[in-house]
Amino acid sequence: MIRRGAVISVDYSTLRFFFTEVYISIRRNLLMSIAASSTMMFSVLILGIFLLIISGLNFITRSFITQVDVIVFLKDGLSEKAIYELKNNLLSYPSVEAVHFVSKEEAFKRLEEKLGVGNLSGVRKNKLLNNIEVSVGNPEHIEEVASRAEKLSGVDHVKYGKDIVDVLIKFSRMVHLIGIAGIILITLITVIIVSNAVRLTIYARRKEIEIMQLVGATRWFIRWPFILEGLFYGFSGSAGSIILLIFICQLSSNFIFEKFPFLSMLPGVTPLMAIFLVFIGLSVGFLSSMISVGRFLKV
Amino acid sequence: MDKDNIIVRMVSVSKIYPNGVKALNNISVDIVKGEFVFIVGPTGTGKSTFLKLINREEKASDGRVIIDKQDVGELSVDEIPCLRRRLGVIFQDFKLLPARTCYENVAYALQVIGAGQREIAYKVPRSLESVGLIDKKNSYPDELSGGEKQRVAIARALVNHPIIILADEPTGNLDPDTSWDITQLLIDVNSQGTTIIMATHDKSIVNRTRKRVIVLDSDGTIFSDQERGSYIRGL
Repeated sequence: MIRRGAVISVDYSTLRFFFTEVYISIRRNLLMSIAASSTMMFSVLILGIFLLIISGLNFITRSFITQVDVIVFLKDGLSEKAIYELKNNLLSYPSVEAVHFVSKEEAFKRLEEKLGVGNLSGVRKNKLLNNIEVSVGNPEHIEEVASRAEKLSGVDHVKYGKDIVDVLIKFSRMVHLIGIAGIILITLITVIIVSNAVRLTIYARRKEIEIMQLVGATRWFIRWPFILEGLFYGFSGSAGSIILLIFICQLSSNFIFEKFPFLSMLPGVTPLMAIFLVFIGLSVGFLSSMISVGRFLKV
Repeated sequence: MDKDNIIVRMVSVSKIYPNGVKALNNISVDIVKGEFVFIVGPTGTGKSTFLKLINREEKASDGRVIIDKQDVGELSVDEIPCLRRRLGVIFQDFKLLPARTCYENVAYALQVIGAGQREIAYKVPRSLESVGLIDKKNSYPDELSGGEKQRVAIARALVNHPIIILADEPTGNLDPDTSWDITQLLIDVNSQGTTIIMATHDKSIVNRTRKRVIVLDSDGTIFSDQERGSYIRGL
């Protein structure tokens, strides 16, 4: 009787067979393999460049936002105790990270430094107010902190870059949205392009697939060498693209830092990004092989 | 006919392809273990379809195909490989892999079903020896004659000790002498107990061997089914 049991026991000789098949296939169809691997590399490279731009934009908006803190100006003549209580009160807000008291004198000194003039003594010092600089962890909470602080007694007025914070928050949200949509779109396009390239290497071996089916190889047994091959293209392609990305970052950073020194903290290719790109490469390789080999598998 | 020994049973089988071509029309056939059966008929009468229904390359549109007491129409996709491991197939175009030696071509059939090195090293030389090609085990298909290529294909079909060999016009590309040699080889294999079902056009072979002959008509029905038959009707 015919029994069910087409399960492959993945033993040493089967594994050796799989890897030998992959090696032979890549060697025999070297040009097509190089084409598949390069297609993968350039697709992942485009994804990587896109990620770099998005993370750069994100970094720039974030660093602008964190420079915009809330400044709480205090009424004249507050006692030290009152100032201390105000500071504590502000610190008790969950979104407030730190507070820093700036006295009139300190504010004056800063103004002198900012204007770059030697000594402004005697120049309308009394126009300046004591103030508390409030650092807010999440920029989206700046407005809430400001409006709460405004109602506290002893507070003269509150200042923060409302417009710029709003714009920056909107911009940062948009960057996130475009980032996610872009990653999905580029990944899908990569799957389509790479699966066509992989299909060429599989097409070259359609006779093997036909014979394997005729002599009773299971569908998974037939798929595995092609999946391993796809994973190989995914890994080699994404590794190549990471090397290219690091190179591109190096080249462009020299140029960027020269023009915009404040961008010197820009994150380049982070380990997390590298892992993500390799993961995308492997996933695309796997999917492309599954899709392509499926077209050659008859019942 | 001994019922327990029936290895292929087709009951009212029809096969209509998606394009509307009716290859087989309500045929019923029993084939007993150890038989040698020729399937003959004009081109397009469903000879290949007859064989493809047995190894489940095709599924009957109607009726039942029972191989060794198992209805192959009920097999799931995952169970089909198990059926095929018990069948050997040979073709007019040999279907050998050109980049592999004779030995590797035969070994391939064992490797892809997960056989171990030891089993391969034991079975492959014996199989090549049984078709008289052990001396050419390291040759590539391109270095062989047509008859030798078909012998390699037969060695590959035999290596897993099949219960049935399905031969689809195995002598179609060979000259008459070589065709006869290949037929002789299949008769030898048959004499050791393997059932052989061979689709062919070759009148002289059919008439010379005097085995069972099933003649398919152009409408997909069975025209005649004779023990020790011959190629009739000038088909």
